[in-house]
Amino acid sequence: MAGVGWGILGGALPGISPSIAMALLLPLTYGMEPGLAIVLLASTYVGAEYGGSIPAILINTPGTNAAAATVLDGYEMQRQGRGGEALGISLYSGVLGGLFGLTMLILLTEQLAEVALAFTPMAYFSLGLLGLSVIVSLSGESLLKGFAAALFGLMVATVGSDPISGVSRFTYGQPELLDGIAPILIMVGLFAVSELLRQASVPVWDKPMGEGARLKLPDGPMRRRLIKPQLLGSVIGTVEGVMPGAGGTIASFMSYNEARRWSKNKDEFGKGSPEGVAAPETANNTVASTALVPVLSFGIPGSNSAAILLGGLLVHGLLPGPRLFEENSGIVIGLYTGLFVATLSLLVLGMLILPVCLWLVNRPKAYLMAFIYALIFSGIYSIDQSLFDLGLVLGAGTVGFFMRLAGFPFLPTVLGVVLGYLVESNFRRSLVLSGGDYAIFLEDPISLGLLIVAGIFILGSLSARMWVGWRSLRGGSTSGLV
Amino acid sequence: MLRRAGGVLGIGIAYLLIVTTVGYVIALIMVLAAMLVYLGEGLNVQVALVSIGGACFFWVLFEYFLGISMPGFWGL
Repeated sequence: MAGVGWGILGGALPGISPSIAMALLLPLTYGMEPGLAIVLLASTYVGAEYGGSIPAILINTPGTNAAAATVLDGYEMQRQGRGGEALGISLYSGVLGGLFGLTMLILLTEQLAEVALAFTPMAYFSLGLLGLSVIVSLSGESLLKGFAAALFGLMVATVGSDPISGVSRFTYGQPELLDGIAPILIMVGLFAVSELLRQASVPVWDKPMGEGARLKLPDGPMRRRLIKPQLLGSVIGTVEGVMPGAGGTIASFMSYNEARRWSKNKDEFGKGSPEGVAAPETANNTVASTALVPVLSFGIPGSNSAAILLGGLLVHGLLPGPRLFEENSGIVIGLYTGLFVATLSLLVLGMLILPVCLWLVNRPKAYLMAFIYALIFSGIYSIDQSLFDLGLVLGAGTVGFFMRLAGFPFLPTVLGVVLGYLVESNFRRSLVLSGGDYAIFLEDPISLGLLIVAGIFILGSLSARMWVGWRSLRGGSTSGLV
Repeated sequence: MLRRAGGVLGIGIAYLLIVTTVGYVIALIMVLAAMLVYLGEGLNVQVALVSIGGACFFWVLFEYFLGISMPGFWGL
């Protein structure tokens, strides 16, 4: 529970990612029993992956990359005075997702590990492309603006060292840009800083009152309504989680997109849909468990936080791989049990912490805005102790403010920033492998399958938009046509 | 509208310019106070106390609780 509590705090503070929260704990685990140390680190990871959704819902600031998809409907619910309901849905879905992911981890580690090994650079490129295909349905009313926003995100992702040759690109002599621009900087700027700039210009404060200021777990009818998006999130989260490098961000965006596609209430998405919160939250927390498959099976960390967990295993003399399950089965069973307790602890700690968070965001506008600004300055600086990063966040916030004014959606930009490097690096690696032959993407069966699915997604979303546009045109409006 | 937003951005830029000179705590007190006054709270004892208390809270949270070194006074 201590690990989960620490993780929630780390995830909820913008800039303190799950990996940083775990890294801060790592030295403390040296003197612990190996099993306890690993459980503590894994619990922190579980808590941090959930914690990222709290600021996403309450203050429009995703605490982690994977929480970016939750912002869309979660913050809209908060603006409508339904923040307590949104937090309840996110908590309930997060716990269900975590338990589902843990079940998959226990039952299917061997089979899922084979899926992870089958992924080639071509398949990763196609997976990234599949993630980018979501842009078509996340573009809001104008597809052109959505594409422009995505292009901006992809351009930002090219800043830094070239993934193949190592040549610096668009760094303008700034050593801080050699490693590229971290997606969290763009997200905090686009969502949080631009919201502060907008709110400063709005005289009336749409502060949620009454029911919205209390945590509200889903009731019976709502739980039934959430089953479909939660199932989608669980399945997508399981598959994405086992692939090193894919991570919770793609899973949460794809789950959001699929939940909207299969929902009876499509029009509610983007306007405060409970399903729009449930799907990404389930996926994100499922990934937190299934991401341990490649770590435990092969010692392949798919993310920074998984790398720190791997470090924790190695520090205590535990070598990942098939022998881990034979020679240290007690520790593996202890890890599974600890993760189970940690996931249930999310529910208990969430019910204790979330009412306090709701109280905090219901303070007067000036106080809330001032403290959010101070939190951004402190949290962003803490990532790399860099004031340059803070300047980037303010720059992204200014761009975001003008994007809001011009009606450009943020999520395509976020997808571009998050997926740009994955797509580009694997595209180039594949071409190096094939000697420049593009047919390699069609020769790899997984890549071909993912490309076909991406093509179906794009065509399906485009035809749905055209249908809506045609109906609007007949009704006298052009909304949704372009 | 642009002027109001520009004021908030200006407070952020001012923080960037002074934080390495005056240090994290004093710069954060100034940001909190400037934001509160700019958003209409007026310069009074409550604003001063909240700004000082808030900055100290963040300093303790990041510097001691999370072990992250924040900019010190005059670059120390």
